Amino acid sequence: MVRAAGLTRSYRRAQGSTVAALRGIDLTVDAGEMLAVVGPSGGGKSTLLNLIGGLDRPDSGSLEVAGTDLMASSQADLDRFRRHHVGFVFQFFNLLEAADARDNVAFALLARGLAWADARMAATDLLGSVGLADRADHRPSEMSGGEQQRVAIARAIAGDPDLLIADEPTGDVDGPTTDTLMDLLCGLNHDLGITVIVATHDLSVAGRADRICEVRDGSIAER
Amino acid sequence: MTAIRIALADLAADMRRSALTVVSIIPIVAAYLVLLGVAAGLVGDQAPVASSNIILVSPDALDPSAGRLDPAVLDLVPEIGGTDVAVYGPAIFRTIKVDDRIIQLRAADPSEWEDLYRVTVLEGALPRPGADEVAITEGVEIATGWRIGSTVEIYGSRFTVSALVRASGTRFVSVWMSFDRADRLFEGAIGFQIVAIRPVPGADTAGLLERFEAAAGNQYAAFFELDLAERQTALNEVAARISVISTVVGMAALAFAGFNLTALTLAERRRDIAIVRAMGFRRAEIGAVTAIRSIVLSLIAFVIGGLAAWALISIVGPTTLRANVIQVGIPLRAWLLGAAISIATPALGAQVALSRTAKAPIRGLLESA
Repeated sequence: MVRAAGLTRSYRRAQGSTVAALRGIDLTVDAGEMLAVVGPSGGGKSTLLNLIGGLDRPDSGSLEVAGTDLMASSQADLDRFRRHHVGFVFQFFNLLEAADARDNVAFALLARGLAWADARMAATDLLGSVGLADRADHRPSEMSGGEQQRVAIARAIAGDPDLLIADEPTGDVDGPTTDTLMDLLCGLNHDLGITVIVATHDLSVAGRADRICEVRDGSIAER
Repeated sequence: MTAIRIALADLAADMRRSALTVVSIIPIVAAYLVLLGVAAGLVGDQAPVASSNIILVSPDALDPSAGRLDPAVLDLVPEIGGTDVAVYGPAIFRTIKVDDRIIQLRAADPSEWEDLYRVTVLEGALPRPGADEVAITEGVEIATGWRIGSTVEIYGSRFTVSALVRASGTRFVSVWMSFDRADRLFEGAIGFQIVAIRPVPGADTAGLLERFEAAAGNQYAAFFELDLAERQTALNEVAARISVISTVVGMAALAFAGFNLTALTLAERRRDIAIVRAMGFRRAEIGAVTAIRSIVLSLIAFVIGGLAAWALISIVGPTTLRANVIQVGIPLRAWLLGAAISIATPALGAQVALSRTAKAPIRGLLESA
């Protein structure tokens, strides 16, 4: 599913200096696998996930995800790649505040070309699958953190992605909610065969993955 | 179709923000349309001064209506003009205030109106000499709403409108009265301000004017009537030019408002843009939704602002400016141009702003507030 070799990525700071976020990452993730990426803050976990998900471009190296060469892809190619192959779950949910739960999920289906009414109907079903059928008309501000993250998960899987990327999905919720969310993600991995890459500080979360890698100071090592 | 549904849903999702945006544009739209309406009213139709008449006025007064001619000037006319003069006669010419409007009062022997002043009766009958009757021009009818049979009060005396006439310079707001009645109205205190001279057909009018100018001394000043009329409308032309400049500014403000509406929306909602980009929406789709959203708001503001402008103009109605009627009305081209600006500039703003947002990394936008 994921083949990365020699990935580098640097960012220019406001002061003008450069920060090397990734320094030659090699990584392979098989289809259907659940990989946990752990490491300290600022170590490069989120950068690695952003590159794999097509939200950012590497400076150098090779990166092939779901059969797509991301290094050679144009912006339009990356849009298409994300639309058809990737679902995202973020630490701070990143839901559309002005839309209700149903429309937040429906947007992912609209991106894939579904008609408005069909997208909303499918979104209602997806919310039911994450236990939020009765909250479909509620806006994010009217939901708990755990509920918002479940909406985010429903949105992430709405387009039948091959790959689900979760960046600190439990970073902003409490313990019991963490277990609920991880049950969901593990269920998607085991039952639907979706490849899951989750970045986390939480070793109990990492422990539920098939494999753990640590990213520290821009380098990766298997644990 | 989906882009339209998404745009409308987005507008409905935050009605307060949508309403505030519309409210902020309404005054700009209303101002733009009123400015164009005033400009159109100032420029307006003007019947040409179809006259080769020579006019003698007081040499001291910048405004002829403020002067007074010596009755001896009347005797000079046949002396100087000789056989080149067909008809001539004195006229009272005053600027008066009636019902808070500035109006020209012209008074001459009604038997000379048609021959000497090219006055044409459109309706009714000319005032009888000495009677409490007046004739009004089309400009007065527009500005005041007076009709044949209306009673008007001028300096404490009541007059009946007996005729609707057309005189040179349609936009002049003029009330015509018989000379005798006007002289009585002013109790003989103001004399007369104008001597009008109609040359015989085929006469050398330029040469005739030169003769009158040469003999003027400090008894009178001589002009072609056309030149005098142009002096009177000069202020209007300046006002019209200023109005045109104001109109251009109004158009620019409307265009800028529409453009900014989209650009600011994108700037405020960078995170939302990043979220939908992360889902895989195409840039063109995002641009279409943003543009449609802004166009809908802009058009709603245009309709409401247009209604407000129309209502304001209807309430104010025609008015006068230095005895010229200003018939304010919003021409069709103003509506069409405003609607076009309201559609084009938000769409343009969407493309320009989106081209910058599209280049920014999604990662950074997701982290923005």
